[in-house]
Amino acid sequence: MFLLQATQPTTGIPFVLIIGALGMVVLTASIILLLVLHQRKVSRFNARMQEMEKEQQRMLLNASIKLQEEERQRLAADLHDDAGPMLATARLYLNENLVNQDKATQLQSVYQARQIIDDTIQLIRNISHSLMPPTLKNFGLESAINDLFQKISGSGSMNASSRFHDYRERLKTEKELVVFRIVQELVSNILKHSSSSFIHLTQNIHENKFFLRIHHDGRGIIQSDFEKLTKSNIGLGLKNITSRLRLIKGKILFEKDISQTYYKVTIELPKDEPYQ
Amino acid sequence: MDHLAEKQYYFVYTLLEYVTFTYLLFQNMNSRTVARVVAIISIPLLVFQILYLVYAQPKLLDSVPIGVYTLFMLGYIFYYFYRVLMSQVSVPLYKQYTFWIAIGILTYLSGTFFFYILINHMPKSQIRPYWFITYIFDIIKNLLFVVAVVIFTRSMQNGSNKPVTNHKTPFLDFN
Repeated sequence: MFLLQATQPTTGIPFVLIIGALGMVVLTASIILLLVLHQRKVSRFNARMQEMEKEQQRMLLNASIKLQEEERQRLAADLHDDAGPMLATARLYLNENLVNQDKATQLQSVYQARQIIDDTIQLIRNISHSLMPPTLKNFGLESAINDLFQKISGSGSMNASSRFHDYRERLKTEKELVVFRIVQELVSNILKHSSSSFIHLTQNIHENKFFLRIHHDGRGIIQSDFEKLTKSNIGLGLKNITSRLRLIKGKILFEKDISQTYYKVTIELPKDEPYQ
Repeated sequence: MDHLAEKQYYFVYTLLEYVTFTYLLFQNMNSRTVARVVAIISIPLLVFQILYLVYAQPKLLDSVPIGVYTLFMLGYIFYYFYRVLMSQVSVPLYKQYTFWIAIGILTYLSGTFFFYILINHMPKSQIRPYWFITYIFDIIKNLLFVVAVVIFTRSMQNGSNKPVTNHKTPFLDFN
């Protein structure tokens, strides 16, 4: 200030004044232009993100509907192809001519019909169990998963084991069912595609979050593959996992072990209030 | 007007301009912290202006307080722009009345900055032809304020005088 005040008026000042004012105006205009351009860029980016989000939601919805349709078709096929013919066969054994036949044949026919009806009952029970596993309903997620892994191990094709470290407080029933379906889907994928020799599941609670981790030593996928598959037209099962996880606000992480020997799939859920 | 009255007139004018512009710029920000910081910054500025009024003997205008206030105002405007850039606002900038106020103030202050700074170093005969610079920027500022008022009135009629923010980004499971 004092320097300016000490400076004597010169004829160059008007020039400085004009140039200074013009420079400031140009600077102001540049700032405004930059701001507007930046905001437009941000708006376009947000619009694209929203579009992508919508597209993914649409794909997940489609996958969910498709899966539901497949499930219905499977049920229809089971009932139509298995239960229907079996009951028709039983009816044949129990036709009107049965009364005209001898005692031994009658007994034989009744026995056969009873056998077929028992098989049909078993078949319907199996269908019902596939819809809602009774172990899950009655004894919870831990028992249902242990049961599933024991069955896999019992088949002799793969060594399967599961261990729940901290499951004193059960998740809500509907949440347990969703988690069980996700585990079923993952295990089914591992059985179909990985050619692994073992599969191991562990459960734990950490920082008020519920964790499930599946290890296997076969071929697997990592997170980037998973994301690619969920965004593509294939990978219906994986899309279904994603939509189920969204339902329970869960996360999933596909990764390879540090030793690069095993693949790991980690499911993370917020732990809810104790099961009533 | 005698010299003292003139000094007092410029003192009040500069102070009023600073207070009005600062109020217009921050009144829509809804941040107590920002309001407090601006108030705290303004106190030493006011003290400085009073000292200048008492001790300095400017030839024509109180250039130094004007310059200091302008620099601080420019700082406030850049802070406002920073907030605009950081916010998740879906309404375009040109549809926000505060944006027009900010660029009105920015244009006026930046356009007249050099004139007010140099005015005391120019002979009176040279000053007169250059007053038009302040008039031009004053008119531009007023026009931009008119745009701001029109936008504000329209948004009030539409029942949305506050910028609409985006909904929170949906929870993404996989980042």
